[in-house]
Amino acid sequence: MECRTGYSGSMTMFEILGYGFFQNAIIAGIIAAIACGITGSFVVVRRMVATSGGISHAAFGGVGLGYFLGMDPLLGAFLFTIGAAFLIWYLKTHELQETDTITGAIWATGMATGVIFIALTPGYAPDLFSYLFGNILLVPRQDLLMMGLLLLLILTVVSVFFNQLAAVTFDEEYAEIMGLPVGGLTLLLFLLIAGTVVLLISVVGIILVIALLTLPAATARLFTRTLPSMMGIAVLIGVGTVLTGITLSYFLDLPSGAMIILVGAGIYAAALTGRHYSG
Amino acid sequence: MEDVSVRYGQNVVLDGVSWEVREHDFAAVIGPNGGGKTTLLKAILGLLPLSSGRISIFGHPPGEGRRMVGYVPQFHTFDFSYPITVTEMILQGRLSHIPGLLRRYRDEDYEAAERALGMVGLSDVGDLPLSTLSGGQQQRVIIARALAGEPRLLILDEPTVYVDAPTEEQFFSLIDTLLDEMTVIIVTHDIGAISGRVNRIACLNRRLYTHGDAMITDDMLISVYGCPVDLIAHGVPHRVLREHDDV
Repeated sequence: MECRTGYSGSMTMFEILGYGFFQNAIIAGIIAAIACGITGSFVVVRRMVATSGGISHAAFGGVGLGYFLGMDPLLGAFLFTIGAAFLIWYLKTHELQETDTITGAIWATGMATGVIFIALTPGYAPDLFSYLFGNILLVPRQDLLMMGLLLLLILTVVSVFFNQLAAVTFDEEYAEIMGLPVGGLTLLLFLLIAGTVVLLISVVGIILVIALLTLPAATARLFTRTLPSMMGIAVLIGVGTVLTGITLSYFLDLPSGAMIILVGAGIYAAALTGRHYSG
Repeated sequence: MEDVSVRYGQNVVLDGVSWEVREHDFAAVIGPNGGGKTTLLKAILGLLPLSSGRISIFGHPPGEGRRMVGYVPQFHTFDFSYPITVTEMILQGRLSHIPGLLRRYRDEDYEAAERALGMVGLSDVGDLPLSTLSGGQQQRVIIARALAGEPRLLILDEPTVYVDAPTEEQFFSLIDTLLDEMTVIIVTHDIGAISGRVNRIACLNRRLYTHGDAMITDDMLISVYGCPVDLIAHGVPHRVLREHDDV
């Protein structure tokens, strides 16, 4: 269950920064925020929030598989999100099924698979709550390297294919007329979501992933008029959200994933209100 | 195009359609909703397979000929709130000309985008976000995106549906200037708007009824729509009352 690494005594912010676990949390949070600002912008402008929900919840099947086979649940989650991305893409493009129907089916099937695997695993499933709701204060140092590499991969793919990804998210039919490989680019978008979801699981958990993927990008959209600047501002808002959330979580002794999401939602609400009253 | 048919399952949408449009023609395809207009467009653009027949664009099959075609889709299909500047949107009309995996925009692409904006009379809005333009300006930006690809054939899908009368006038004078350089095909059910402006007309309702002299006659409308249509009013709603007799 949730491991409380709570505030006790009269420590200041500077003192807790000396702790290894807190440093790890900050690094993990920044990596995740960069990924969610970039992928999240595509998700928001292309309206792929539900698809992202399906991919992220399917990850729970992988977490269950990890427990069952005795391997790293995060690796299982990675396999399942990639699999879910492929499956949604295949059914959408080759069997012409409605995306939200497929998404709903994969969402629930992934969760159910996870529950069955965990039931089949003898004994107690440690840290299960962390995978569902995140616990960034428990991210081990060895995970940071993997997260960093995954982020590097996401950044490389987006910068190489940026013009094509922008075209396909703006006007898919026209992108096809322009001779772009629309099917492949759509798969690439889904795979980006899958990779980003894995990065976010250790920060906010499977259940809360969609919120962190969309809130900073949706906030950034209010203030920007081009996709690259939307991504940049979403990254900044994401970093601010995660760091504020972690700090509040530590000092208030409340779950980190939930605190991060509430901070993100608060910033979005404030931005909406501010824009409404400023005309 | 010769004897083109397209079927969706059992449903025959285009049946033995043959049509020829010459360079610098201003041609119109009219017909009721559901008559196959959009399917015809997609077939010309090579977006769907033909069940039979052949389409040739300046001697090329549709997939290859696409680089010579500029396409202006229906206005309402756009998400104008997408964060993108006018120039960035128009640059996307260059993507079919850019070689390589990266598809990075080159200087000549920026120049083509600038020229296209000039052609539609919007040279000063290139850096503005798409969402801040008026409806009429947005419509011209969509046309500019098609022009950026330096097409020999421009195809417009229902371009006059959501525009008011002055904008419509502006639109047709723009088309007039383009006709020196390219062929224009307009697809519409707004017969009043195109009447007297085009030099080649075809009426589509599963089959295509062609009339080279561009005169819309009552007989022609009756054969396509299955009912008499008032030519004076704009955008009269029509209903197809009965099946066609072959012309």
